[in-house]
Amino acid sequence: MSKHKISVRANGQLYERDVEPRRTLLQFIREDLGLTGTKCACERGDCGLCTVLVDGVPTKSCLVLAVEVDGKEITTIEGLMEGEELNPVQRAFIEHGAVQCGFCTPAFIVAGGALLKRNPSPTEEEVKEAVGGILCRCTGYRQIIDAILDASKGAKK
Amino acid sequence: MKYSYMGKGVPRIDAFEKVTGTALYTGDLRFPGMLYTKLLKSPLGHARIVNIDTGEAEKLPGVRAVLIGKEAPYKFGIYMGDKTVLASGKVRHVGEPVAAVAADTEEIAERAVELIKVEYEELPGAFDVLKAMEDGAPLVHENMSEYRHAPFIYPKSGTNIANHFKLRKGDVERGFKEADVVIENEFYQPQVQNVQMETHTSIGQWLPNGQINIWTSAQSPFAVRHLLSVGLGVPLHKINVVVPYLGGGFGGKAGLHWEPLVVLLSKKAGGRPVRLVMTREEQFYTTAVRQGFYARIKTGAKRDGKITAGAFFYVWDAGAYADYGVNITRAAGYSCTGPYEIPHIKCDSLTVYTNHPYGTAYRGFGHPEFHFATERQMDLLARAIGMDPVEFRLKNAAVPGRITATGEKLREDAGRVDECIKAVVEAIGWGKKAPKEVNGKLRGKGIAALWKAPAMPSSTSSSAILKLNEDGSVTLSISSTEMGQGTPTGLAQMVADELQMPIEKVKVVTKRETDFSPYTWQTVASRGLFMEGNATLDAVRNLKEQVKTTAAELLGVPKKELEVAEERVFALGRPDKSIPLAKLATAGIFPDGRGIGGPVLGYGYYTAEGLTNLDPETGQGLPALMWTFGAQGAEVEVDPETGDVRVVKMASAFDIGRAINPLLLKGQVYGGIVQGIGSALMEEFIFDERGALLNKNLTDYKICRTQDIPEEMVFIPIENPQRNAPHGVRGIGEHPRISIEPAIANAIYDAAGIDLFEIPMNRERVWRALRKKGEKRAFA
Amino acid sequence: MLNDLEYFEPETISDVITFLAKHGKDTKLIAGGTDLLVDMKKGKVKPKYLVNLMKIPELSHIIEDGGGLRIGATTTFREIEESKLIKEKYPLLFEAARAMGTVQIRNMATIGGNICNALPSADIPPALVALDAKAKIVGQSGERFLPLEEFFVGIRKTALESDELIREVHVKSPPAGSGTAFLKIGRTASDLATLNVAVRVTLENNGACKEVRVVVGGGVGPTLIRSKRAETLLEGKILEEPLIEKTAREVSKELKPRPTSIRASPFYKIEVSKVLVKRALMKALGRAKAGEDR
Repeated sequence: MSKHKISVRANGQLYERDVEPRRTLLQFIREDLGLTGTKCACERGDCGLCTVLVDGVPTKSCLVLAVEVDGKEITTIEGLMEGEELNPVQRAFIEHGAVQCGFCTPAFIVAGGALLKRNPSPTEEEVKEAVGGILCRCTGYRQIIDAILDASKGAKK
Repeated sequence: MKYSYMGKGVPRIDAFEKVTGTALYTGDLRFPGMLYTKLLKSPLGHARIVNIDTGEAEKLPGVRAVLIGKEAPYKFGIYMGDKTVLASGKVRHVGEPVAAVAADTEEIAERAVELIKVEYEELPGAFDVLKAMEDGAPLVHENMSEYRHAPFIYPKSGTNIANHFKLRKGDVERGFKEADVVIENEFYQPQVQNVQMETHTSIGQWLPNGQINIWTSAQSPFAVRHLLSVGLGVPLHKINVVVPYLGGGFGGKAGLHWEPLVVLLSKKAGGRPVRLVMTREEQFYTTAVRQGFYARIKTGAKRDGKITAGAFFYVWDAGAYADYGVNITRAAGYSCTGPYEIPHIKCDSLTVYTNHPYGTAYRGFGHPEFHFATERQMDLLARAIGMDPVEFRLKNAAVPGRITATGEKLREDAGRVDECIKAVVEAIGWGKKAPKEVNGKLRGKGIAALWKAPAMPSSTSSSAILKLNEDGSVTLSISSTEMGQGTPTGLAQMVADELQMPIEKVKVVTKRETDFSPYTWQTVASRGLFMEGNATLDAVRNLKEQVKTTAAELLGVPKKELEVAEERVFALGRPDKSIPLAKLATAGIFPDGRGIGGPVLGYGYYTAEGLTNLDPETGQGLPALMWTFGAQGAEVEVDPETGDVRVVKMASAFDIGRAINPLLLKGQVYGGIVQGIGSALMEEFIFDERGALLNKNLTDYKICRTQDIPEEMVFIPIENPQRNAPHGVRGIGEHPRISIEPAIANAIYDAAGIDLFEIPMNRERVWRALRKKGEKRAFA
Repeated sequence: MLNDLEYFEPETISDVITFLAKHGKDTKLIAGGTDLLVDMKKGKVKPKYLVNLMKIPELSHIIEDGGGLRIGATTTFREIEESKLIKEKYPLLFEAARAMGTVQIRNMATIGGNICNALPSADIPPALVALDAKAKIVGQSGERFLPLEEFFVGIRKTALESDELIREVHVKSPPAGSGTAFLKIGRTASDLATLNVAVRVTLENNGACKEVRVVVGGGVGPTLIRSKRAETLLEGKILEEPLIEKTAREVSKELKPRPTSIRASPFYKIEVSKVLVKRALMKALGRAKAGEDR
């Protein structure tokens, strides 16, 4: 089987790799790039823990092939800090107690941040919908939703 | 006091790592030469293994070890040593691993698994827990009588009953005779799964010199080490268990799970590290789940509302192995009444083997299951005697001074279930006029109370080490793992307050490593803040003692006049007589250069106080370190035509003694509520007639998403401090998900006049009940 | 784990057709992949060649054309639900598109992929059938149009030949006097449909029903079901609640749910379809009367 040379910009850094076509974007991110903040928890698009941004769009990376993202820009949880500062969504997650075991946290922060970029002042329903593809078993979601809403207000300030 | 962190919503100390993706979980670790494991799983529920041919698999390049059950005859277990890591001789449930392959890549391992040929001879299975108890039922474990088990477990050899817990108090027949009304009902709950977001993940290495290294997603590193040592017959000190962050546990990662398997594979592969990450499918049917539950409850009461007697018959569908199940059975047995005083009680709680996936702990340890039954029964009995269910509960509430099922007289500081009930009544507006119908949907309210104590051996202990660092900061080591519950943050708050120093100068070690970390029994049972808290306070006392001893010499002030605060040791009322903690960390120094004292290492421990074994025949004794009482109230909306149930509001009150961190507390409560709504309305294992699980993925097994949560969740902390607890706290980890099901079921009755006895109360089940009742508007 | 395969990214439709003519039987087209990759991981599907359609510009568009709409096969669900044109003029499609999956899945999944996967529980096909949509199919022998209800021939089975692909979906603009509704029940906010219903009611000026479509999906048969009985019963009539209830009962007789579904029993699906069909018809009727849909 032939490998394909792909080049992606992940969190602002350029990576060129030879990948087998059957390699998923999730495997590529976690194993080839060593960005383990993105988690794998179901492998079939149900849990959303593998959510990353592909050209800014929240995407379940377990259902995308690495070859499909050749030439695209990937953003993972590791690329969200603003210099040495946490971004507003990250800060709000801490302040609101939106983090428990932390396994799903990266996905929620990635998707929440993408929502606020498109829609700086979402309603509660819009927040619920935007992160509705991600499962969390610890928090009951309330504080996650509140954190994203609060970060949106922060963004307006 | 300058520093006061108690009662404040201090952000969790592990938050930065978790919001930046830098927090490492077991599955994020990489080791040179690491091998990857795949499992061959049984397609049959009960079958003899006639032959396993691994020849082809072993020949595949890149395969480094193939292991089958015969090579791993070791029995493991904490309460009941009934489990091997690979099926040996026969398979006992669909999904049970029969062989394991460790290979250079996951893909090679997967291909090798496909090359293994197994010949089975199918046996009649035990797929119905009640039939499995009958004489002549197929035996899941023929040799149960040979299994090692804890002394408080009572298996019945020659049957599928792995434990029969008995409780007898008073004279139950007399109690029923005294009653004006007696009712009897049956209740049922299916097996469900914990659905931790992180599946079970373990890396093991068994070096040829006997050293065993384990990195694992386990709740209890010391239990892993101990159980592995006993099971394999390996010296304890040769085993080092490391637990990084845990992606959720909820009881499912307590005790020992797949650690022995990776270790044995490593041994066979010459000592290379071997990793196993359970797939989501395996998480559902290969690894542990919550037991199924059947209850038959008979209760009697007088017209004035006093309960006179209760007979509780609980049957637990343990699945193929009952290691944890036997103790859940026991815990539910001694708590069988719920938070009420009943003078005459008979309880039989039985763990029964079946050919289903094997049971383990899941947040609440049997209590959500039996509270569904008991709290439904409370409503039904109140209705039968014509009393308001709240009034009925208050009348019988297990308040201080009253006697529990095991004969314990509740102390004055035991916590107040009555206050919890009243708080929830207020929060959901119980008894207040409210529209019965909103937009064609029926509205109703329901209430349920609860109690739970940690289920643990009577002499369970914890320890803590508090190191004073050279700059005056401190580092706390404990072994209660961080799986989301936030205990380490609460402990940091306690240390900062006790030492009167900024919390930024208190570090709690996040990694647990048995070679270095102080012992604790397990991270389970909502016992962490209480037990590690007491151990930590003891360590603080010990650290203070050490620094004061040295400072007394250096300052020339009697020790008893010294205090510690603001990173200094000082003499009360004499500001000139003080010394920074930093100057005592490694040793004190006299003006002439002589050293005194040495590195300061505070050590503390706590052992559960006053608990006793329970009498084998009557179940009488003292099993509870603390009871956390609570009440939960639901407001629901029922679609009379489709059976759809929506939880509009959920209110919860718990007597937590003292709220250490309201922010984290809220998280525990909201999370518990939403987990409970999942099993109340949608979660269940669905099997075919031969025991194969039909919904072993998250497409077919649903848990709540953002849009499924109640519009409103209310938490009311009740604070009646417990005397022997650190700052009065009680455990709260499990309690928020205990009485969700009965609160919702009681609210559904209030809304639609239907009585549900079975979980989950999914749309179809509700719709069928509506139809049976002849709900006029059920269209059709 | 996925099987070994060769991967191609053609840039034109004719390249795809040429490829399919040669390797059609060993090829899977990928257009979003949210279903296909799951099947491949489970080993249910093991294509030798995987051809990605997402880099073909001429396959992704939403164009208003004559009396209708042309939606390119690789248009994502998210693009459909976010199209102002669709939201305003084809609210039924908007509602059905939003009912599918979660946002991240809708960001990835495409209308062509969804249709070709032919799951009986899919959400957008009933809406498309209610709007008399046609699939524009292209292959070596040229192009052909197929009404969408004929496109689905069984569970995961379509009328597509191995050398063909869907190029576009054509949707007729609902005539004046139309009202539509899409209703779905699942076990949670985001679930495969236990039942879904798409309805279009078109009224005459005098208020009588000129044309109606009642389409039921969610595993009520090997494919979705367009109820002919509903059309016979309602067309030409003044729609009132008793007639609508009667129709809902009649529609339920056309359903044949599989007994093996873990989501709900056939009995429940049939009985509750009556509720859903009635509600959808009432809602669509209300909208038609109010002139909400156009």
